[in-house]
Order: sequence, then C-alpha cells, then structure tokens
Amino acid sequence: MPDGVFEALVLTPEAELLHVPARAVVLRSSDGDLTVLDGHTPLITDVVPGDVRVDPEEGEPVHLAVHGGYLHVETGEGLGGAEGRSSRVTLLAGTAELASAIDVPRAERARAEAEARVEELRASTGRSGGAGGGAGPGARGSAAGGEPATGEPAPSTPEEVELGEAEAALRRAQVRLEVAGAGVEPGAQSGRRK
Amino acid sequence: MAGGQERALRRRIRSVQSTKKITKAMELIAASQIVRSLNRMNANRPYREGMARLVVEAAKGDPTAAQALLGAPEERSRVAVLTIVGDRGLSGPYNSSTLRATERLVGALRRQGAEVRLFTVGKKAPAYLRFRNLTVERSFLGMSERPQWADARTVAATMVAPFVAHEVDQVLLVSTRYRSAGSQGVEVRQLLPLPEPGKGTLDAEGRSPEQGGWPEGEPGAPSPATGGQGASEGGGGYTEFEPDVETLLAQLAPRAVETEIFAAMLEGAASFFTAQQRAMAAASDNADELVKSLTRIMNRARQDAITTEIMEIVGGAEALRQSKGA
Repeated sequence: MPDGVFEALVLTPEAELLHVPARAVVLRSSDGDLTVLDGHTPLITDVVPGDVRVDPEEGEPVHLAVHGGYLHVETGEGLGGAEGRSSRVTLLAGTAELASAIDVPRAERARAEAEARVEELRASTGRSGGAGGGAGPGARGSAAGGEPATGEPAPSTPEEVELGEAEAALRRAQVRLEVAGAGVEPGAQSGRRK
Repeated sequence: MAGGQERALRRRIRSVQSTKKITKAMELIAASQIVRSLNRMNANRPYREGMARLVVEAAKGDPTAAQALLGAPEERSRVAVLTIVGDRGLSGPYNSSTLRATERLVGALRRQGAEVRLFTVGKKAPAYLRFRNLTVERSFLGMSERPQWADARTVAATMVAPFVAHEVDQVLLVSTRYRSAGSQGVEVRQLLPLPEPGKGTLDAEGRSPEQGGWPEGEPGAPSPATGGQGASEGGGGYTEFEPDVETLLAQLAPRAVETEIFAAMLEGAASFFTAQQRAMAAASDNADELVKSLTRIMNRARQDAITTEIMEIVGGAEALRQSKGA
C-alpha cells in the first residue's frame, strides 16, 4: 500500500460494512476524540456511540453511525500479507450502519416512539433522568454497544430492564439522526454516496 | 375378494405420493434456506475473527488480569451448559445428536462431582431433556432458524451473569459446527473462561484435550479461528489500552461470548437446513421406492383377480356345456 494508507475495516456481526484502503479514521472513545492515521501506535480502545468518519484513499469520506464498539489498531511488519510496515484498523461494533443507509423518517419515528416509551416507563418506575434521555447528540451510554454494560448494577425489575432497553433504543435513534444529519450539511456532502 | 386388496393398495400409493410432494417441497425450501444461512455465516466471519484478534491482544496486555477470564478453570465444581438446537424437527439427526451429546456431557460432569446448570436454545431441547429428568433452567425459543444479534446478546447475558457473579466456574456450549456442506458435527466448546484461540474445543465429556494456561507474552501459533492471521504477525511491540486493560478485558469477555454464541447460532441454522434438506431428499427417494414396490404388488393383485375371474368364467361355461351334453 502507498505511504499514509492503511487497511480499514468496519465489522458488525451481520456484515462487513467497510473494508477499504484509508488515510484516516476519526471517532470518539471514552477518553475523547481520536484520529487514527497510518503508523499509529498499536491500540485497543472502546468507541462511544456516535459518528465515525473513514477517509478512504480515494473518494469522499464515509460516515457511519456506530452504536458503541471497540477499535483495534495493529501496526507491524507484513500485516495481512502486505509488505513493509503498515497498519490495520478494525472497528468492531455490535450495531452500526453507513450514513447512506440510514432511513431518516424511520429513525425519526423510532425516536418518537422510544421517547414516549421512556417517558411512560420513567413515570411508572419513578426513576428520573438516566443516561441518554433527551440529552441530545453525543449522549453517552456505556461504550459497549449503547446497551447496559455488565459493569452497571443489574436492573432488578422487569420494568427497569424495559426502561434500559427503551433508553438504548432512544440513543440509537439519536445517533442515527445525528449521523444522517452530518451527511447532508452544506459543504460536507459526504456519507451520502451510493 | 381380490378387488378390495387392489383398491386398498391404490389408496396407499396415492397417500405416499402426496407425502412425497410435501417432503419434496420441504427439501426445496431447506435448500434455499441453506444459501441464506451460509451467506449470513460468512458475513459474520470477519467480525468473529476481528474479535478473536482483539481478545488475544488484550490478554497479552495484562496476563494477570487475563488469568481470571481466560484459559482453563482452576476448579470445576459448578458448570453452566448451553445447548443450541432447532425449533423444528424433520431434520434427520440434527437435534437428536446434539441433545444426546448434551445428555452425555451432563452425565459425565455429574459423575465428576460437578453441579450442572442447563440452558437451551431451540424448542426441541426442553422436551427431550426434561423427559430424561434433566432440569432446564432457561430455554430460548423462536430464534434458531434466523438468529438475530439481539437474540445472541440475550442468551449471552444469561450465560455470562452467573460466571461474573462467581456462581459457576465454567460455561460450556454444545452446538453443531458447520465444517462444510458435507460435514457437520456436534462440538463441545468452552465459552468461559475464554479459551485460548483454537483450543476451545473439548471432548464429549467436557475435558480439554490438553490443559494449559494462557500464553504469556509470546502468542501461540495462529489458530484456525483467527483465519491464520493471528496478531502474532504484527510483532509491533506493545499495545496501548483505553480505558485500562483490566476494565477493557472485563467488558470484552461478554462481547466475546456474544460473538461466539451468535456464530454458533448461525452455524446451527446452516447445519439445521442442511440436515433437513438431506433428510427430506432421503424421504422423497424413499417415497419413490415405496410407490414403485406398491405398484408392483397392486399389479400382481389385479392380475390375480383377472386370472381368478377367467377361471370362474371358464369353469362356469364348462359346467353349462356338460350339463347340456348330459
């Protein structure tokens, strides 16, 4: 591969979303924003739900809505059969989609539904203001998939479990809308390929 | 009278023929589902391999913390077993061989003095196991044929929770591996503690062929599970972790189990349809054979009836002629 270009993969359990030669991957981890370039130190980090940008070697940057996951940066000699020192950047996400594949009206409907559900359940469980509720873009869940991580105290009642699920659904809808929105901003006609 | 036999045979042939129509249709449906399941299995593979690389790398980062989550359990007095079978039958040995293996495994573990908790996926499991006096703690239905990621997460959460809470020492998985179109087989794998890559497979009694700890520093040979592209080839020195490796490992273990269970469910679905297609093809062939032999019997019966009738006519004519002549 040419200088400054590395192998970038975005993988979900259902599909290989992206496998391209790339120049940069931009994302947010629990420690803050992160840009990965060729030759980056080997790294494993969590990925906070939100927008991930991949700049391919050629063509427009690709945006993805990632609902939490992990990033694995490998740098070494002869990686993946390539010659010389190179990097491979793998993003593993339980759920993710390309910005171009996001159905905006559907995500909006899902957000409205999830909001109503969260309201309703909060009222019945008497719990208020958990993560994600109306916090808008950048709402942070657990890094591990936008769903309750095992580290959190286990929800005790079925209602609380359901509330957790509804909140996760709300976060996912928010991330989708945020990422889909980023794709149509003036001057940033990215992620709207296909 | 012989005509009655002929009629009965004709009815039997018609019934076999309509059964064959059903088995033939099921065969074709299964064949189309195989392709779909295989596509999903292949789409899942990169993720699975990526997860394996990630876990290996993270484990190298902190072998001490890894010890609690990885390798062989120090003692094994409490074991959770997850069995994955189908929701439907008519699939040859697919369900029964997995369930028999589960029964054997549970028996062996109990003989070794372990306390076993049983979890199942697939409608066929609870009935079989309960009949054999094995208590199923929790069974998941309706997710076998088209497993979704969310299903795998639910199952994994159920399996991981007791391990994290130190209620079990080991979590095992009994499921069908899809090796190729011609070969699928039951396999017992260790889910938790996370096995070393390529070493998760256990024998029918749940024993590891070779006991060993997690490698420290130097990774082992690239395993088939990582597609021969183990992290070892990188050799680029140390890896940084964010957050710290201990936190990361604790988060990663459930993710790895989810990945493993999802892959097993996908392979199970592909194996189910392959087994079903084969079973239904055999049933259709058998129906053909049956129709052929029944037709032969029916023709003979008809011939016999005709012969008897002719004999009767000839006999009657002869009697008439003799009575006239007398």
